Amino acid sequence: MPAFDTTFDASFDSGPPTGSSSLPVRIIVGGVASHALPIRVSVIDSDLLSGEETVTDRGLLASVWGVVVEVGGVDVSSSVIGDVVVEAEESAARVADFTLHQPSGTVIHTAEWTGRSVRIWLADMSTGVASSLLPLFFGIVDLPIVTPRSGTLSLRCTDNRQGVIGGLSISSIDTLLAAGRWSPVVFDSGASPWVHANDRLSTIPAALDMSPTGALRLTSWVAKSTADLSFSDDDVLADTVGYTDADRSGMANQIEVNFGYRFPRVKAEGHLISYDYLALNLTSFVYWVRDGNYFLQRAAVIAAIQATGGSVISVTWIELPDTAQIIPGTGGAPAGVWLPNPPVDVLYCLGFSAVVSFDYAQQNEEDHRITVANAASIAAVGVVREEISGALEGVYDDTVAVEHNILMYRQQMTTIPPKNLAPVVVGLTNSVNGTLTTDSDRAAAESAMECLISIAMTKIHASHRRHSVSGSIPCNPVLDVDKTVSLDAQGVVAKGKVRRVVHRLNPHDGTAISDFDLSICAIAGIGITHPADDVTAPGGTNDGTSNTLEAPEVIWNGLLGDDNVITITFAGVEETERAKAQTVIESTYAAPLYEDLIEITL
Amino acid sequence: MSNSLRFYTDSGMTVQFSLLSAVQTDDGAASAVDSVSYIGSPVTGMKFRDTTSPGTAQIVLSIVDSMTGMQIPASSVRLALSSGALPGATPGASLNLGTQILSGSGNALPVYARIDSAAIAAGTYNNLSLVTSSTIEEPV
Repeated sequence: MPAFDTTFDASFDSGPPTGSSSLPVRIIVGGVASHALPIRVSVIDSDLLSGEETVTDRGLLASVWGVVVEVGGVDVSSSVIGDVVVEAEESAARVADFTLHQPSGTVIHTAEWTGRSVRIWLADMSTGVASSLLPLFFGIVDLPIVTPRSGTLSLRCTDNRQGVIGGLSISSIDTLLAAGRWSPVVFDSGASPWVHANDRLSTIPAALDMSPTGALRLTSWVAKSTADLSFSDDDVLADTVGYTDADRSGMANQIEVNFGYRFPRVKAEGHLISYDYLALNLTSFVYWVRDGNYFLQRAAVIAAIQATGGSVISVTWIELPDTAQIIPGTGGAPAGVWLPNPPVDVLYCLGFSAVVSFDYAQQNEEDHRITVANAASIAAVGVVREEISGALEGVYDDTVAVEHNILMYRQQMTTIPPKNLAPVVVGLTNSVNGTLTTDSDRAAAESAMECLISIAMTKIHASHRRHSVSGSIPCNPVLDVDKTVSLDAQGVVAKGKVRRVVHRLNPHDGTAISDFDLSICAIAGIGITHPADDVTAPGGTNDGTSNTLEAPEVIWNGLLGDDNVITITFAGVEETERAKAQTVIESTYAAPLYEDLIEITL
Repeated sequence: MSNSLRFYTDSGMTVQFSLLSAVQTDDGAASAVDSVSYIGSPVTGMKFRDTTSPGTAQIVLSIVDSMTGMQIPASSVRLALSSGALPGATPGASLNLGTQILSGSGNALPVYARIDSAAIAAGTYNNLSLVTSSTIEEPV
């Protein structure tokens, strides 16, 4: 009989190890779907698409039109009450306003309406169904407005121009506005895409807005040579044509662009020193020795030059004779012999010729005074001046450290070449421009100036196209801010680009009107084009040789009984070469104007 | 689990593109209408691949004709991945969008469409649509 029961014994068994293993399984359940983008093609009569005809004005025939309004993809046309207003202005968002009737007791959560897609078309309803759809507005609800118990919901809608442009990448904006200019000196390089687009746009005479169907488009301010649409008295509503002149004070025709550019130049003065003390004393070697005078030590010459702060670029020594010399005595009889001692003689000289440089840095400041003007406008209305400015400082090493590095290198105390070193030109001051960072070098300065010149030209153009012709026609969806309109009605003959258009439609009272403003660029109003100068930055100052140097002076006390001291004196560095140089550079550029036709009969 | 890939009107994916609209004339003489839509998702950290063979098969954008109502042929539409490629695109042909599309800002894929119809009776045609192949949305 076992001492313990089987369960107890089994717990002490040592059989094969047992266990289990686990392998985690992660199953990612991803959303599966395909997505569709419906296409709607509205095929209409060509006269409607060209704008020659509109469904709101059939001449002798009855005009039967309607407004198709979709919100969130749902046709809500039958709920629209009151006016449907669509307003477009160049370089601004297109907005639409309309009101929907809602059954009494309808509970509205306005937040659900914000951001819903909105599409508005003008349609021909002559057959009883909407046809010949022409888009007036594609966008989103920006602001729902409700009055409790009113039974209406008003929607303010936008084409989301700012959101669309703000969502573009910087590179996409640069591609879209490739005709523009941009410089980090003038604009903020960390700006948002929205600000970046407006910065670039400020250099282009063009409007950036969206088509009725929501496509970004860039339209030149310059009216097309052939108008897209022509309106006569037959087209324009009675007593609606008006003209507004731009005020003179806002008609800038001369813009002073002040641009300061500061940068360093590294300079080298190249002095030649020639010294021959036997010649200076009108004597010869043997008589110099006979009289007991000193020989000039080469080390003393070098030390004397370096004591002035100069660097020896090259030196040629007049050596002592390498043959025995008979020293004449009194009456001409030989008094002795001078014997060469080569190991010692090389420490001395009878004169020298040395090229010595003085290196230093100079700050240069170019004060560019650029005048951008339109001469024809000045002749017509006098000078209306504005001013813009900018500045750039070249990024360079500390100039004191630069001078020190050059001195160390020239005097062979270091073999590391300085960033910039002006070649020594004997007798002259020579200079080279400091090597600057790419965002502060000459190219960056030129880019900044070209950017400012373009801004000035655009400002002048903008200020001259503020004349305005307005009018109203039966609603025509083709009339938009990318169009050029020719008008000959009610005593006004004009051609210009559409600056603003407002479509107002009320299906209930039959109102369907398009109000328009034409931007007229004018001085004389006869359509003259005043061409522009090419926008190329004005030239700056040049490096290279400048002033002629005065000869240095050498004084050596080498006669018997003198102190054997050599002193070398160089003329001081000219103040104009050393102190900050300020140069005023003036230039002028013709600003373009593309005058539109305007003629008013009183 | 839903799939967040969508068509957008802008590269920033702020507004969904719900209808590609174009106006043409019945004589076929109207200029072609070009549009750009952006396919992507503002959700971060996701990728979209073809359902049948993820990572290998192309995600395809097709021009689908529902064959209902008044009809305009699929050959009225050209698709391309750049505006410059539109003139050379085959009318009616589908477009390969790549083996995956990443979600998030800056990754929206621009798709260019050109609608240019031949002479056809006036009317409003809704029979065409652009449809992506089935995609699966997964974490990157």
